[in-house]
Amino acid sequence: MSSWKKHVRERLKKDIERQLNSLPVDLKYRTEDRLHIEFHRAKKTRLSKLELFFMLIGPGILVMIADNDAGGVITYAQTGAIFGIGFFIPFMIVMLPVAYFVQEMTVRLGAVTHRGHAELIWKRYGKFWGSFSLGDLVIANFLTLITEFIGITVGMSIFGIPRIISAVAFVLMVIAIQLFLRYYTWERISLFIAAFNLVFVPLLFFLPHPSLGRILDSFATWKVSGGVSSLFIYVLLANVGTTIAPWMLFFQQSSVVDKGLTKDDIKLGQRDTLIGSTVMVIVAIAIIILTGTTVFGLDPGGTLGIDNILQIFAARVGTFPMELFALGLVEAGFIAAIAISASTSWAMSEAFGWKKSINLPAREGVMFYLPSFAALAVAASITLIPNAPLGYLNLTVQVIATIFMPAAMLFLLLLLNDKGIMGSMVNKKWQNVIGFSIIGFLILMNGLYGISVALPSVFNHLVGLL
Amino acid sequence: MKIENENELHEFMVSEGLEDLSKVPVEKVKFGRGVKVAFWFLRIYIILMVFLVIVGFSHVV
Repeated sequence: MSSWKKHVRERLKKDIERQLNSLPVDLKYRTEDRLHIEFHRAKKTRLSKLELFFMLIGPGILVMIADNDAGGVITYAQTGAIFGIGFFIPFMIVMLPVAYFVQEMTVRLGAVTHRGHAELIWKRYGKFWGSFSLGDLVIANFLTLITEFIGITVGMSIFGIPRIISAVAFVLMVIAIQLFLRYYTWERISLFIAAFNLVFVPLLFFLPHPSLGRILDSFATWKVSGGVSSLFIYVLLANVGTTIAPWMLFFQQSSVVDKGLTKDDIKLGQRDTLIGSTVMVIVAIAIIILTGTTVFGLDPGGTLGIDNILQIFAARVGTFPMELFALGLVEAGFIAAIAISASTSWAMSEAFGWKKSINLPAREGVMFYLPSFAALAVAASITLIPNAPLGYLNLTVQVIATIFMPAAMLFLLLLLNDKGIMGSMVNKKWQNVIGFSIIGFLILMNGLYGISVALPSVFNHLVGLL
Repeated sequence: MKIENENELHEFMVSEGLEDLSKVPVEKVKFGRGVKVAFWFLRIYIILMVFLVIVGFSHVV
């Protein structure tokens, strides 16, 4: 290349750099990330395709692993402890396509519209439904955060760390991750933390009597230990609630938008979601097997709290595996706290038109960060209150999430069928059939749940008919 | 892919939907009959669930 051409090229590069630097900082980072992705896409070599895959995965895996949160881990542990290996292992396999199907829609919606879920509901369906969805999400997220900090403090107490120290330390870590990292680094660090969710899988090798035959048998029989009862319906509902939740819709769509995914990235976004759903279900099944083979059938004084389960697990398998289990519980709370606080920030900023990106530095994103940081601090403080009614709180969390999910799914399906925003990417007929079937299933489950809470005698009669 | 001048960078940003102006415009939708029915169903469902929850909590507390 002649020297004058080189000079012109360098000049142009500098012009582009200057143009990038003149952009708002969140847009600048996103444009840089997208340029990086496009350069890899243009190369078309095997290595660059692999690199492109690793660059684009993230939102799907993160949302699914964060869904295996502290509350989720406790629910799966209780499920195994109460019902053993049986119905719930094949049931979790069935939940895999359900979780994938629901979350895949958010990838398409985000990539096509470049807008978050809260923003679309607010702008498309008006303030009433917008504020209903936002209010429900923010309250549910706040209550769920409390359960994450319960998991973190219980898990850390196994290692002799006082609750106040672990609560403060993890609040500060979540804030630092959110505040000081740009989106791409935030996502990579979060994925690294999320990888520890897999700790439950190698724990299976510590089991004294691996029961592969019983596990395979459960697929043939779908046996409910003790038969269908009101307790079984409760646990079933809790497992549904921990697999698909409203915050997941908001989180993944906003994450797709903040990452800057486009129509060209939808296929990889779908693979990302499929990998995430598979990992989520593998971990869930591992936890059910862990407690199903060690704690099931023992009577721990009538209360199957996580403390009890951990004690029995330690007695049966050893202290080291129990410590790994506790570490998994801490990780589950930690990654979920990161994801849930991000989902609150995104949703509130989308609804109120504030600047919205994890790329934002602290000074420019005060309104973006402040609500979720305040929620983090208050949620962590509540777990430190002696004799707080945590059982009552868990019930409230479940109820709010349960009420909200069919509504959130309805908005999702309406948006996915809206040609005005989705164009040719609207849902196909079979996708709507599956989507509305899931809503029907959720409403049926919620109806049963509602009846069981409000009218237990009617519920018991209904269960008796089954 | 080549981005060698400011115009090309701007075109890239528009095609990627990175700027607000290049995003799909979103306005409040005029509700069709199906959507109106769905929203009424949703209202009834929420009221019913809230009622059941209040009754349930009154048993707990």
